[in-house]
Amino acid sequence: MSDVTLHPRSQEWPASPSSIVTAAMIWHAVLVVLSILVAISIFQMDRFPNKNDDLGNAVQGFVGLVALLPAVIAVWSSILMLRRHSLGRMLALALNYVMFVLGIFYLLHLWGLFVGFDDIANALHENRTWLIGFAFAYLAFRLAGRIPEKSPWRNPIEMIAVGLSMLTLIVLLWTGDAVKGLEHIFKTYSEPRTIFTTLAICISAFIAYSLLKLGRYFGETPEQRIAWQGWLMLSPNILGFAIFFAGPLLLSFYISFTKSVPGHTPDFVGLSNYRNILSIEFKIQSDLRDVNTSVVLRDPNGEELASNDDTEGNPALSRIEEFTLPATGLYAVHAQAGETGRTTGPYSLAIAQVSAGAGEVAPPEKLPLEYGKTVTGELKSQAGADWQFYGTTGDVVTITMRGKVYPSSVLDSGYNELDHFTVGSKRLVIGARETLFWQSLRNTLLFCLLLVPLSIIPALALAILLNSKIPGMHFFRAVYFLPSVAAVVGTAMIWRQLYDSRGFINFGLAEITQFINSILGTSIADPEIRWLTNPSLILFSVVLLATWQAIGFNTVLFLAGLQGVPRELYEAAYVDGANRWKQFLNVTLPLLAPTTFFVIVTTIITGLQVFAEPYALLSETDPIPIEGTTSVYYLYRKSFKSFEFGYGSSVAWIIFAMIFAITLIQFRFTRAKAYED
Amino acid sequence: MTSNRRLIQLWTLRGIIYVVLVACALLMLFPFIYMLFTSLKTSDDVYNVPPRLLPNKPLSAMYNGAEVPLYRATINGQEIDVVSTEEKVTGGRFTTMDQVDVDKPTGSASLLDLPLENNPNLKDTGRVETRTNSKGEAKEFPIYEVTYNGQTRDLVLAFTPKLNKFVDPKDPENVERQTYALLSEFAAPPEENPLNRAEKVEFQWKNYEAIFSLRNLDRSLLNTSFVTIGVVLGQIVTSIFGGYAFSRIPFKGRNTLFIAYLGSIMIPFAVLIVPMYRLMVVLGWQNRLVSLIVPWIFTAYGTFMMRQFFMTIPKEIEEAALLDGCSRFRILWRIFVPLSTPAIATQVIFTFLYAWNSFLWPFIIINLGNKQDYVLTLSLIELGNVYRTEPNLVMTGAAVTILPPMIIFILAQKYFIEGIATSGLKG
Repeated sequence: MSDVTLHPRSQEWPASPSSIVTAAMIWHAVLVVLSILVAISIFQMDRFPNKNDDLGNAVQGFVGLVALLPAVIAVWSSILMLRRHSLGRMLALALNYVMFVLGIFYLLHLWGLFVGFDDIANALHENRTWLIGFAFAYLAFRLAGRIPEKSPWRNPIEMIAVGLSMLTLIVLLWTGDAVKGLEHIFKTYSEPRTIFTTLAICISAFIAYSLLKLGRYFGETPEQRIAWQGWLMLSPNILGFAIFFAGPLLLSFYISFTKSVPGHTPDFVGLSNYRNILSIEFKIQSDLRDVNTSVVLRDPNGEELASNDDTEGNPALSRIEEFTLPATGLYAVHAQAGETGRTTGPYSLAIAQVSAGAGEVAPPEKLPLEYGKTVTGELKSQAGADWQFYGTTGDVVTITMRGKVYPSSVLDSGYNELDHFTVGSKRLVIGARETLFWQSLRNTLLFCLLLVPLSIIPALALAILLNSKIPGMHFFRAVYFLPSVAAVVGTAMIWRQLYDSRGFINFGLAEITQFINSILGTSIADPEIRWLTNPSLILFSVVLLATWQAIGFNTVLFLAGLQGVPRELYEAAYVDGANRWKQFLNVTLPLLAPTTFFVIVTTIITGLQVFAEPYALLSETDPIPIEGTTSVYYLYRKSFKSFEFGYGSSVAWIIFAMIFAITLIQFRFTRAKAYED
Repeated sequence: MTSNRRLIQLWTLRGIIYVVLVACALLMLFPFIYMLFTSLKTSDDVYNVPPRLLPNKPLSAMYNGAEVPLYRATINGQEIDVVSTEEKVTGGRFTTMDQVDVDKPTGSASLLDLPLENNPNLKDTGRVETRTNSKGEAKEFPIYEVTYNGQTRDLVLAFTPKLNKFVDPKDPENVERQTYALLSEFAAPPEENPLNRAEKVEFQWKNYEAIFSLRNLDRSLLNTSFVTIGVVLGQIVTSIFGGYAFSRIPFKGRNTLFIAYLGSIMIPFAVLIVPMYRLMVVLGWQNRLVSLIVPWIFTAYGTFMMRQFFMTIPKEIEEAALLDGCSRFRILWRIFVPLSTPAIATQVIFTFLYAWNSFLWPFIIINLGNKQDYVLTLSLIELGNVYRTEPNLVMTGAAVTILPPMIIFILAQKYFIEGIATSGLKG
């Protein structure tokens, strides 16, 4: 970093201060004109910033106003400078500096450097064998570092290393067509804007540099000098954050209030996106009506023995009357509510024993259907369900099935059923416009809810074990930490393989069940879990992967917390006769509370933003199953699959609101703690 | 005596702790071990039932001028690698009566599979065993006098399968080194196979060669390295400057700015996805490597961390230098940077991990199919879906993605864990 320009005791600029101020004024006048021209051209644009990516009138207006800012500052600073006011110089400095930086940014853009990163990577890739030169140079340099300083060999080897790397660089530049790149840069100068930008950069730099030297002329105080140095050092961050953080943040907020589709001017729709996403309604269904039902009786071999006869003319009531069972064994009853459409409703299924047969064999175990008992529940119309009962040869039975449905839909138009709960004969139906949002929210919250205890309790246990000051602790700590270092996409690929139906996890489970069976003499069946295809397990599989990756990280956090617990407290507790468990409960846990709280909060915050884990695990299907859809995945689909940017942004702000709430709670908690201490 | 007992108690406790720690360590490491071994397998070997860790390669041999698979047979208590010479030899499955499945004779467990014709070891006794199956039909099973392993026993003939004849390719005529088996039965359950493919442990290092030519993975590796180096360098520079200004240069509005800066950490990336995407489209950076580098070189985390570290450096050093007429930039470069090597190292590692492992942003900004600009995580996702039947290659890709950060972590562990312990930051 060159320090010449900023040397605080440097000489005054040779030119007279007044001539510099005059030059600055003239330049400022040019800037005012330019900035007004730019602003006008922005305001007059039909679509901003170009035909394809219309960001809307509000953004256009905002950017136009921002473009006027230099004009305002130029005028203001010029007036103040005329009065030899030091603030005028500061403003002019800031203005010219920002112009200089933005100018360079724009010039590099015109040169095609940013877009050219691809070409650089391309050239490196084509000549990748030459990259070995750098490795050798580095090795040589390391070697030179090992040699004692007085040795005559050190210097030459260092020189060789530097030479080698330079040579490699030259070769890479040569083979990578750096000359062509330079040519390209020269060619951009055929356009006037390139020439003008270069000129503007030079003038801004010159003015800024000259004004910098005029500290004494404007009566600069030492505090002011320190201040501009601070601002200068912060300037990369401030500019970067304005462009890549604050700007997008505002834009995101604005977009969330628009209906924004590529190729169209975004319409401001107010809170409509949020309303659509969050709208939810509760309806109660109670007026049940009868529905067609059917029952089929099957023998132990699955062959149909009898089905209901509708001869009574009452389809809502199905019966198989006084049927004599031909053999002893398990019978199956298949029941179905036969109405098409999305009807679900309560049913009752009963089997009555009219007269007993010859057999007196006890049923092997409790089965869903028993003589004289009624099964009730809720039945999906299409699929139907099977129940089993145990009968002996000669039993005469009567099977009765009665089904009722709720009216097809009570939800307002535009609403879809999210879930329902049945209380007695009434049913509460929850409807939402965006059911997938609620499902994704539910999945995300469930993910956090499972991840927190699963990753924190083992982490705490491991941290306590590791804290017992035994040799090899660092090794274990590193091993536990390894999973959190790896890319989620990579680990998800591994777990996808482990979760395979014939993979190691199922193999392990099968071995364990076999082991338990052989020891206890039980006959538990091999679970054969379908980790990634069984809808009710998908989320759990995702959580398991995330847990594995999070445990090590949390262990390290807990270890740091534990090391802050003073040993004297344990000694005191020991003297008081507390055993290890008591010590844990009364010393460790309370003192670890802030750490635990912090770990919980960070786990929840990262959990709320989970995306890569479910996506990488489940990306074999597109879109991934609903059970694995998280909020950020929903956001991704809305924004980049159906290009509803407005919706996507609203979802993002809803996620933000949740994170903000949790952070506020944390803030409150730590504040309260701080006051207590 | 008491001290002895206490010592024993202490070491028993330690032993238990070690056992628990080692068990957990194995659990944590297992997926990585699995990845490494699987990445060195052939694709058939991955689907071996039951799954196994070590890569095995099926052997083959030259026989009659053709390359044929080798099987491992146990003949007279001796393990011999054999090849199949004849197919569909009429044979018989000989077994004891209690092993015979009366309902489904073809499912009977085998004791011996032998050819029926011209076999000196077989003698039909003429007797039969009769059994009734579940449908009430009577089934007859002939009894033979069978000589094997030097013994002669009466065995029943369960059914007559078509057998393959296997011979030792090095000694095809030797009757002692021949066997017969039912080849179609080689599927599950595997432990009951009469013959298995002869295998040996062999690491398929060529998977690592193959992977780089597949799906442009070498390009992705280069892109990821390029992006990572760019982001690391950029973040270090901006956060050193920012951290220094925030920690050492007093000016009006500094604290407000700092609080605003800290507040930005709270904003989830989700909020920025859409506008950043649109900004990139406007700048013409969408689908370009630059979108993975330039927007990410400004970091509130890093600035905060550097500030915290710079605060610990004694003021006196700096004041002396300032009195000597040293500029701020010189002080920063000559005093603060060398003194804060550990903090910088910590940040380099964090940033490295963050940039190397990042997925969501590249996934959004780099178009599907633009393989030139893929980073490793993107390539790996695609690899996983396209080569799902060849998990060995997917695991090779995963290893290429996972190992570099892991090596860095192992080398620079100290900085890493200290960094987390002090600030609780996530990479």
